[in-house]
Amino acid sequence: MRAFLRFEDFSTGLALRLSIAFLVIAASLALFQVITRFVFASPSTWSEVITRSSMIWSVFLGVAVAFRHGAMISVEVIQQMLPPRLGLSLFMLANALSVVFFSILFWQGWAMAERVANQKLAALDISIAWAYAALPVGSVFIIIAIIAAMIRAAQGGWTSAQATPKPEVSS
Amino acid sequence: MNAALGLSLAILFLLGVPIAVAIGLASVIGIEVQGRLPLLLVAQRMFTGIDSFPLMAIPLFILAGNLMSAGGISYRLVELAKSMVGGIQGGLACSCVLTCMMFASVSGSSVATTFAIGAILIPAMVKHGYPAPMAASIQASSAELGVLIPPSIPLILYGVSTDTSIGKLFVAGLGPGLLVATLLMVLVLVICRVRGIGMNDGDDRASIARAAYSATPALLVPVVILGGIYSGIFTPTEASAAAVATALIVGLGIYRELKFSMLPDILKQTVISTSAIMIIIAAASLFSFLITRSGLPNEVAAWFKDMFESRIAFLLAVNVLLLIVGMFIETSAAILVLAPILAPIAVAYGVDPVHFGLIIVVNLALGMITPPLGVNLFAAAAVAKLPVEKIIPHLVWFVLTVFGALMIITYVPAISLWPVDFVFGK
Repeated sequence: MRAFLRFEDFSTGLALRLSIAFLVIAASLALFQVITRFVFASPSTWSEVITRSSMIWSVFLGVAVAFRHGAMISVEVIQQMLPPRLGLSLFMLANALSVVFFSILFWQGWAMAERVANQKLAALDISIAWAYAALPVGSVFIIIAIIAAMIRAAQGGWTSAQATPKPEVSS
Repeated sequence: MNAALGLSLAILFLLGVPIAVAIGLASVIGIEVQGRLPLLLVAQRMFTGIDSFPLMAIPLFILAGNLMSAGGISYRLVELAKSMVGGIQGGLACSCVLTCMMFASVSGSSVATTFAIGAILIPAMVKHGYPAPMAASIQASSAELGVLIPPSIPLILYGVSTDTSIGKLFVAGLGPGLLVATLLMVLVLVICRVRGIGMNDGDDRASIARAAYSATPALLVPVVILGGIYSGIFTPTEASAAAVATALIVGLGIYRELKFSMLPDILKQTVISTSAIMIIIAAASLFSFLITRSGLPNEVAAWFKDMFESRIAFLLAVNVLLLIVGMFIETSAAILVLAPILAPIAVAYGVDPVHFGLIIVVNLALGMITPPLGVNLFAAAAVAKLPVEKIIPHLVWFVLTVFGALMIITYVPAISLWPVDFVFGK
């Protein structure tokens, strides 16, 4: 257990760094595109494609970090209303279902990447499979992060995690 | 298939499965029940759902907002608002509304607005004798302006999922934003008069000239965003990239309160918020694809046509539906699932799609301050360190006021559309 949690520290930390790197790439290229359009009066054709693909990588890696920090948006009213033991069971069930979903996404994402391996990203000599690979690769990081969250909850971290409010910035 | 989709979605929501996963799993179940569609759709739609340049504006606006909050903008805007309206009785509450309005023009999120402004103004109001739950209610309802005044994440989502111009939606948001802000200011002034609080709100505030001088660089960001979009120079995504650059320049170079050592943490927060919302968008795009294929939108449209003859009745029905949905469902999920179904129906009733977007967003914004699932309410409760139940009784007048604004916005299209005509021409 402890070895797994240490491994998860490493893997989710890696996911975080990569996700940030892809976000920075996407943001810089978006800015670069504005500049080329104004300064050189000719928008670059390749930057938009890479911007979008980087963003997809950033998102699927970042979801692992969001699970780690309990920042995935969910309806927790019932989990919190129930007595702690039942609430914990429900939390475990919800996370197990998430593992199921990301396993499906891993499987289908892999299949999709294989299927499009021969197609090229628009205006670039790069296979679309590199963009689609974000789904299976991200899913692996996500599944590790969810299992670690379940272990930590089982070890008693659940009630304390419920007490801290999360800053969701989405709505 | 629709029954399987709907039922599994409801159960998964109640179990507390993350919304993105609930929507995704319900779609998987729908595909399996229907039997003729390949499961490969799950990967394909979730990929193409976020493979979109307009959506890039969301992470970039979140990043720009986080950079600005860390860069010392919040209290400068508070000082500016206080110097403008803080001198009268209830001036502090008024400043709260005004600050939220200004902050909303750099941030696309009302929860972010609650955290950034509430952290300063809730303690300040309590210090000046406002009851803490009332201060929290004022903050929670003012922060709604975060999603009305551009930039706005919900408006981007509506634009992307219904193919409506995000630039026009952003312009249209100004009218309803100003209306809600004005009504809220009137309300807090009346409450302060009636209850006799906020007598000494005028103490310790800077002169207008000094506050304005200090806040000018902070206001550069909204000028770049709004000016760029309104003048047609920038698309919203380009404006968001420019906003990030401006926020960096202002924070690092002018205020010098943003430090390079703070960037990793800011980026981490941005990545977490971005991923949590974009994964919902990905899953919702899969879900919408299935719903559309099943022909449900046509059935719903036919049902509406049978039930409601006039546009007035239709809009009333939509408002009731959205109010209920807004109380229970998270904003972005609600928009992504409902807007593609409802917007074409609205257009058939002669409602402008831009105006309809504002109706949806104002409705859902109201849901952010109503229990049981009011994200602003939770955020304000967390900032004020109060249990949510203590705040609820104080909310009644605020909810009624925003509801009044919603009715005006629904039935007076000009409030949303006049700015659009003004900027883009008829």
